[in-house]
Amino acid sequence: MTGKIDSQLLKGVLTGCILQLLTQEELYGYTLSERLADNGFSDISNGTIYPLLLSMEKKGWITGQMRESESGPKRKYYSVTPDGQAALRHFKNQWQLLRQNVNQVMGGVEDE
Amino acid sequence: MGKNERQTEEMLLGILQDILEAQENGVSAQDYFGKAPQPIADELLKQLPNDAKQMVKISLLAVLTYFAVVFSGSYFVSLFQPGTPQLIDVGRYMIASLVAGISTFFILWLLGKNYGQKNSWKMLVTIGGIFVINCLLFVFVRTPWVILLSR
Repeated sequence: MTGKIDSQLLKGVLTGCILQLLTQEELYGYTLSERLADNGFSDISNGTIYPLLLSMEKKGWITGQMRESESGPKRKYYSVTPDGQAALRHFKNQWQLLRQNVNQVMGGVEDE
Repeated sequence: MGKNERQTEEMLLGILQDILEAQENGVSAQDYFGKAPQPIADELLKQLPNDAKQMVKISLLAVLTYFAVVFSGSYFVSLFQPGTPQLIDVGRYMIASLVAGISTFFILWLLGKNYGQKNSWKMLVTIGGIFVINCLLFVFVRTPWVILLSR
């Protein structure tokens, strides 16, 4: 279902979702994509998460650490920084506001 | 060109490992990564940091090569005119080489910064302009630092 969503919209939303997932659990590329899929993002091309991860790391929102993975080799596990926490809060507020407004507009149309 | 090699390699390795893991779990590389790798590659390149040290190294190489070529070129030409003293304007060559080196660094930096953007004709004009300036400098600059070769 999410495969049809406009990529620009998805990018902003995915960033927020990735931040949230990383506060719950430290993940690397593949396990992050699994978690996203568990939450309904099963149709996205996972290639798009890599530039997002790089960009978030550059902004100082997440930080990576090389650790042994379950499947064996060392992988880069990401976790959220305090700046990232702030960015996540900001995203949640924006999303809440947006959702309210959109529901209102759509809700109004349906009632007629 | 101009991007930090180690970080690029590390990132690519990570992606490769993810694709392998996806395949182990029965997902094809295409299904995992998506059918349009080119725009993703462009995005990744945009995010990677530029490597100043590497750009400086390349520019220095440009300066030395330029000077060596130009100097030995004039010397070579002077060999064909035996008996007449030749003046080689070393100052001019040094300035031209230095400017060539700076131009190289500037162009590399520009390329690194603007990768994947659509205003490539603007870039082309800029780079062309730099090239022209370099040529003009070479033709018109005269300095008093001259070596006399007499045969």
